[in-house]
Amino acid sequence: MSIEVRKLSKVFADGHRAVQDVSFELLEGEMTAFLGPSGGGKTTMLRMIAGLETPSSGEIYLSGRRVDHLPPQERQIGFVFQNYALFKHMNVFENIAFGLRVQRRNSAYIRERVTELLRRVDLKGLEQRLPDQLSGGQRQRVALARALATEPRLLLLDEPFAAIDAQLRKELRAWVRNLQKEMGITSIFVTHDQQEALEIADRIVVFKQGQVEQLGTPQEVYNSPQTPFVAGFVGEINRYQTGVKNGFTDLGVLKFPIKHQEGRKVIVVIRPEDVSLVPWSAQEDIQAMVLQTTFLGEFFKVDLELADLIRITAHVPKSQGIGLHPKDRVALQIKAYRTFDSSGQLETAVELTRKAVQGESMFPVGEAV
Amino acid sequence: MNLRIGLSSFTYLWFLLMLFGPIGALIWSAYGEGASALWRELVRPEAIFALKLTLLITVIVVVLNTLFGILTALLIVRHPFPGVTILNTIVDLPFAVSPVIAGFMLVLLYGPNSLIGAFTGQMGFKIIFALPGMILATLFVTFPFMVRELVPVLQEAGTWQEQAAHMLGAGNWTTFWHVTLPSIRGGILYGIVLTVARSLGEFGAVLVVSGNLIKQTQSATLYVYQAAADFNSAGAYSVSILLCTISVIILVLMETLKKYGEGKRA
Ligand SMILES: Nc1ncnc2c1ncn2[C@@H]1O[C@H](COP(=O)(O)OP(=O)(O)OP(=O)(O)O)[C@@H](O)[C@H]1O
Ligand SMILES: [Mg+2]
Repeated sequence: MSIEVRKLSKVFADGHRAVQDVSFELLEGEMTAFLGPSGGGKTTMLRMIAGLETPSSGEIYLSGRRVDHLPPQERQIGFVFQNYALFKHMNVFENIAFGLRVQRRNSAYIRERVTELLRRVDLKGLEQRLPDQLSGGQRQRVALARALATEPRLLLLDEPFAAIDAQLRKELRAWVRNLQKEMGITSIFVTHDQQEALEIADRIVVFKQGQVEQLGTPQEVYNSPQTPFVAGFVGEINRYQTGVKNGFTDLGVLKFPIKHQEGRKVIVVIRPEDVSLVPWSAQEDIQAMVLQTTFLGEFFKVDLELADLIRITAHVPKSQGIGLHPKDRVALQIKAYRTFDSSGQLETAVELTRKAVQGESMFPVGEAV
Repeated sequence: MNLRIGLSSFTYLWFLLMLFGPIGALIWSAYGEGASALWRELVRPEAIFALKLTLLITVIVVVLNTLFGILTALLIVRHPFPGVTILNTIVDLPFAVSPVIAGFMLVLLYGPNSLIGAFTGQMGFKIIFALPGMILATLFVTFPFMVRELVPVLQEAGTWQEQAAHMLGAGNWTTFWHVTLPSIRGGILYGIVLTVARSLGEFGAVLVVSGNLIKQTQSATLYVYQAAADFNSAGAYSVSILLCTISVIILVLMETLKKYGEGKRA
């Protein structure tokens, strides 16, 4: 079902504003990620949608129907808690069957449905186990099966993979993603992990201090961050705070044309992968010295120092990174950058195509220095 | 190694002195009286009446204490209200007050010379020197057991399971019955054991409020006390042993139940 949230706020008893004036709309059948730093209000938001927390103000609509006055048991929402919250005294079968028993389904139906879910979550044969006798990943799958048993129209997952090791985590999230697509359940999951959000979400909502910083598809959020915070949280950035001088950024060799008024403060953001290295040459505008290279598997992270002691980090392909050493002199080309005003509003977003850079530089790009 | 042997022998010695010694003495002395004497004493109408009275009080107290204990613990842990910390301390009051003084307080409040006592007396309903007073006194001294058992259990269980039940469509009652109650079952059982043991054995408070009237308000412990005072040692031994045996049986029964509960888990 679709979800709409209007001007939702939550002020806790101690006066802390965990969620402030948040509005958004999520479409039916989509998987949405709530992404943001710790304490950003993601859990609070999820709990308000579920009905486990009462909003201080604002409205929540599910499929167009206002629900914020309904108790959780009447909202038809499946919730997977961060700590799973399995019923400790019930075995796996009874845990999954609980919602069906509440609905007073007949036992033949319950048996059939639970068996099917057990098959789906790959836990056949563990029906009689108690939660204490399961591994973390198995518990997580029981929690998921339990939430899915009653065919909720909305599935909320609070950091469902947080306590699971990297390998299983990857498998599980791919699995959840397939299941969600297959069943067409609208879902929201909370995560700290930007990679996870980019990988399996249709849309991402970035929270910061109780407010929505940006809502968009993974591509939009990654490629067109609307604030320096989003740019930094989803992916890596080089971030510079500077002024405007003669219509350009006042960053020494990192001189970008800018619309800002003279003397105003601006924030310049450049992603490491948008910095490419070319052989040193006197004609190049931006010359640099390698400080350090770090092998990161798929690419090299190269820390560089420009004139005026400005530092920048570049991500370069393996083939190029291998040939680089501290104190090497190279030249840089910036393929894309974004500038924001001091309040974080986007001012300019420049995306120089590879071709334009090449045309200007006359040097082949990507060749080892 | 030596230290361990030393420590464990000390522990055994301590147990011997504090627990097994007195019980052994009781059994030994009773043995000296001969089985037939004991049995004769046990089936005396006064003794049977006293035992029945104690059992009746125990059953009523266990039921009431369990219900109100669960309710109080839930209130303290789950629905804290202003002044809950004070309440939480007051729960322990019966532990701190001597049972005799507790009985005395009840006499002051409900006795024939008090306002309430005079009123109920007019209606033909006696509290003090009657069964209701004995129940009240036993309730007073056993009240902390259930609450003290359940508060930490509830605190540790947290509310996650209840929240999960709500998300699965369960209302408050279903959630309480199928989720909350089973998760504190062990604590309840143990609370019941302690309440039963104390109810069977309570003396001071009951003595003060009952008046110790033979075949009217004489409970089993009062009977033992009376028998001992009257140099009827066989009577004292027989009822004492029976009370002890009942306590031990209940203790063992509850342990087995608990094991069974955990056994299903293991
Ligand atoms: N019951 C509460 N009473 C008071 N403050 C609370 C309560 N629950 C949460 N908060 C505060 O509200 C803010 C948002 O909390 P929330 O749990 O929603 O963050 P989050 O984004 O889920 O963080 P994390 O990623 O660490 O789980 C935090 O500052 C937190 O301390
Ligand atoms: Mg959280």
